[in-house]
Amino acid sequence: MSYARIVWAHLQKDLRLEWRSKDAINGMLFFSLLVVVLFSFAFDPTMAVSRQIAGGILWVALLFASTTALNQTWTRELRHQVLDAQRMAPSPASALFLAKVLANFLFVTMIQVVLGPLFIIFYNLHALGQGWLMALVLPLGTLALVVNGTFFAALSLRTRNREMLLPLILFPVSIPALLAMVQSTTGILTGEFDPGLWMRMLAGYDIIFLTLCLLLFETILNAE
Amino acid sequence: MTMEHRNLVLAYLFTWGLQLAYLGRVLLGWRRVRK
Amino acid sequence: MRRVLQFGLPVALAILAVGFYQAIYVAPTEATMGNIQRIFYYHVPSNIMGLLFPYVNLVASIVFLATRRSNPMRAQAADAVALASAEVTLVFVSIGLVTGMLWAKPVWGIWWTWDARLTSVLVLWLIYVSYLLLRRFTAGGQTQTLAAVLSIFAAVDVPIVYMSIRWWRTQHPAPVFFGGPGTGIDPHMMPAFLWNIAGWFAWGLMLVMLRYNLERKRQHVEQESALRSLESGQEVAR
Repeated sequence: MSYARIVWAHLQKDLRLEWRSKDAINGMLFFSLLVVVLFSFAFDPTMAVSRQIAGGILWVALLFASTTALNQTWTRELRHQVLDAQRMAPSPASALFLAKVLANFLFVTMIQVVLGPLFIIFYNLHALGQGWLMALVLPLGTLALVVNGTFFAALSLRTRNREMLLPLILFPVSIPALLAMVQSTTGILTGEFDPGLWMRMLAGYDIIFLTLCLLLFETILNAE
Repeated sequence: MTMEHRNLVLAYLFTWGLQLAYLGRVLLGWRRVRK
Repeated sequence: MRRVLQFGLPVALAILAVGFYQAIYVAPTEATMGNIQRIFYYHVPSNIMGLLFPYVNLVASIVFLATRRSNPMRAQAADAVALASAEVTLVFVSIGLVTGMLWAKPVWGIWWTWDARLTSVLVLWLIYVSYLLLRRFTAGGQTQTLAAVLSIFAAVDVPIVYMSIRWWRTQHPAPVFFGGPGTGIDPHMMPAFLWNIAGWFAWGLMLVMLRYNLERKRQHVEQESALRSLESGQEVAR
């Protein structure tokens, strides 16, 4: 089987499983919704101010929401001894990782599709810069969160305090990506500066960490 | 004592405090392992 | 272990004593800041060590990953070095952060600023805290491998954090503590700096060696008890 076919097989399985239970998606959706509402109570921004802060709120909400779902990304595999089977099978471990990343990417993107309009409504947003660039920023940012998140979720899989450890490891490593995501979004919304540099940095971050994670996934899968 | 003077003293005390505390921890661990 | 203590500790303490004397009594008082500037003689060496020992941790982690199948003995030693240097890193970085804040408040009126240097040092601190927590919370055989992988992530991430915040700050400038344009060291202050850098390096080296020895001892004890339970299991099977 070709590499791409293997990835596709893993991906289909994940999507099907998730579609049946919809655990992760519902959890993420509700959580992000709550965050959006809470923040608007906390800040009660005017239209001008909301353009400045909406970027930050959006990405923090997505970061928290994806963290809640990331933990159980791998527990499902653990429950059915899939990881042991994977270790014995000749298929490359990185394919499993890539499929998980794509699955998580799709889930978070689905959240964004719902969340985006809500943001626009609650904060009365209307982009002063080039709004269409968000179509690039959203996937790039999501990828940054999901790549490292999936990797560290696998890394902390058999640790005692998994739910606490994952954000603790993930957040410091994600700081440059978070900065880039927020700056790009703010640049687009306020139109005050060119988001290009930040978007390029985000793309660079994605490439660097995707490569690093693909290279090291086999190592942590076979850590015993 | 001005704030400057106080902070200087605090900084040096904190430095030595943490370093000696860590050294103590290692030495205590050594004694425990030897048993 | 005893040798390290008997030799290393007095040497390090002696150098640090000279350093202290230099810092407090010999070095001239700084023109604008006054005596608070003397914090630098502890703050700067601590930061330097805090940036040096993570590299030791990185190299040891890579050696561990490279040799864990081919040369398990060397891998165990490498892992012990990694753990020791990680803990010592955390000690030095913590001191650097706290002394920095104690200096900043009287001089700048603020405890903290999100500039490139401070933010990346904070991230370094956070990652090494998570490194030690990972080691504590992970079960048995995989601890060393997972920690080594995290160490590689730290090494890739911290420079990226530094660069990204620097870019950010060219667009949105904020106060920069120490090291902004136009700063330099008065040559009369150099002896104090050098003595303290040497002293804290000697001290740090001593700490790493002591911790390394402790970890090796712990590894042996663990291996021996594992062997013993294997042997007793074999006897029962017989």
